[in-house]
Amino acid sequence: MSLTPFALPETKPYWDAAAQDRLHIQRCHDCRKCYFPPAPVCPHCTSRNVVWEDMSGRATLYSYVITASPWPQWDMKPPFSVATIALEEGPRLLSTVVDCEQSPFALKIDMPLVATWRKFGDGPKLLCFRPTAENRQ
Amino acid sequence: MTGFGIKPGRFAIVGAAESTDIGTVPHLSSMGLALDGAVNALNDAGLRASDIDGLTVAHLPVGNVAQQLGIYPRWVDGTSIGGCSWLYHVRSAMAAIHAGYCSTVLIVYGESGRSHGTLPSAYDAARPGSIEQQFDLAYTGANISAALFGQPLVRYMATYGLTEAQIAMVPVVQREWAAKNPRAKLKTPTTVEDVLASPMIAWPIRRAMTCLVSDAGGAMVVTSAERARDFPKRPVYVLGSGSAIENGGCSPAGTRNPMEPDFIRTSGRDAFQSAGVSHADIDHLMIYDAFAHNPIFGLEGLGFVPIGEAAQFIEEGHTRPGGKLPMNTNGGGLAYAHSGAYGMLCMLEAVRQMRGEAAAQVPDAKTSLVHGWGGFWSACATIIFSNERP
Repeated sequence: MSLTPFALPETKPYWDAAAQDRLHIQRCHDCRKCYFPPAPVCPHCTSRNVVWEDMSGRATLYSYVITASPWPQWDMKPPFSVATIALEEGPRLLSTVVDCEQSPFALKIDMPLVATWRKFGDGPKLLCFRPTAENRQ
Repeated sequence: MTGFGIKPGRFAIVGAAESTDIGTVPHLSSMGLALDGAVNALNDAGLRASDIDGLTVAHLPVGNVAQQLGIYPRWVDGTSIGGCSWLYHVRSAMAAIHAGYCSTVLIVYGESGRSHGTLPSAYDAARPGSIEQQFDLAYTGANISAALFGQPLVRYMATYGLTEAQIAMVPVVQREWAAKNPRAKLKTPTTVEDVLASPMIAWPIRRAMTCLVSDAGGAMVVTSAERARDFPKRPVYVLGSGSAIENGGCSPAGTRNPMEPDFIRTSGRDAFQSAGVSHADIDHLMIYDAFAHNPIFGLEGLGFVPIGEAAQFIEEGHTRPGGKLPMNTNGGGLAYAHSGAYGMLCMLEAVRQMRGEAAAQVPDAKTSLVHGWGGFWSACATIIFSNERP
């Protein structure tokens, strides 16, 4: 399978922004809620009156595992975290926590995180998260 | 509650069988396993292909299965939502017969998860441009299933104090069942220490907490209760059923309540309400165990125990041989067989229990609840069976 994300018309603004280190997702202009993944319809209220916005990048660690296998396609060596991230603006998404010891002792549920972008192997820039400066291990 | 149009016991399973061989079956592809299981189920029911006028298949092309079995259905369902698909098909088959669209439905499953996993079958979440390919699979690493199924688990451990040793009790208990089953892959006893010494897959999930990777097929025949008495085997009636889906397969991050998934609660609630039975009426339980923690979340989501208490319930021995709620009595996906999408094998064990022909038979069992998961925390379906028509 190809890991390089294949953008659709509906998701291209997300990937274009990611290439510039920006977390760009959609907010519903009617109910004011943010949502993820990108789509032309708000899943909270079915409105098509939705707009793209830059998010703050502030988030918390909702949950995770620490995988023990290498990921040669991305040139990633274990252990590395596969994490559910809760954005300050509401949506949750899958990512990884970097710049942090990859252990249950360092990775604390609900710890504050901030968005960062990394390239793995030959892939595009991917949204990742790191501990906030005051929370760095 | 709103009424369910299909009353308890209106439909029955009149034929049911696994493929002749399960485990490592290199001479058959997913399609071959499906066809072999289908022929066994037809023989079990004493039916010919020409007697079947409804067909359901998941994760294989329904038209190809029809053609290769020589079945010319006037109703089909190819809903493919992961391991619970075939439970879902029981629901849709009953609805179709109820509506008069067909009279006798064959539900077909086959998956060469071990020998030919790359041939057409199962999920294709990695299609370029799919939501999963863009936003999930870039992060999961090589152990996709463990990485995704583990997401609800670690937060649950932090919230309710579930320990790795408690998770390890699930495979320990299920090996006790597998030891009684000649067809089970892992028949030797194991211990919490053994489980916790097995290789790490994705913390906290270890290999012994992970289902097998097997080849298997199977099928069932569904028809009305009125016709069910005319078949050679004891009918297994469907008392009630439920189902629900919340996302596309790979996105536990987007599940509204990962620790208390709404989809299992909806599925279980509808199954109990449509069956007209309560938890205390259930004699036998199958909860799809892709990973050791699935039965923990399942016992709670279905309402058998309060949230946070399922691991203790298992530790206390209630689900082991001789316990008050025998669970995963074939050994489960952890010890019996698991091809990738296991729901049909759960139902076939329930049918064997209701017929009184299981390898590890639960004495006097009259009701069985089967619960299947689909995708990686995305869908559920639940069926309640009985060997007595209400």
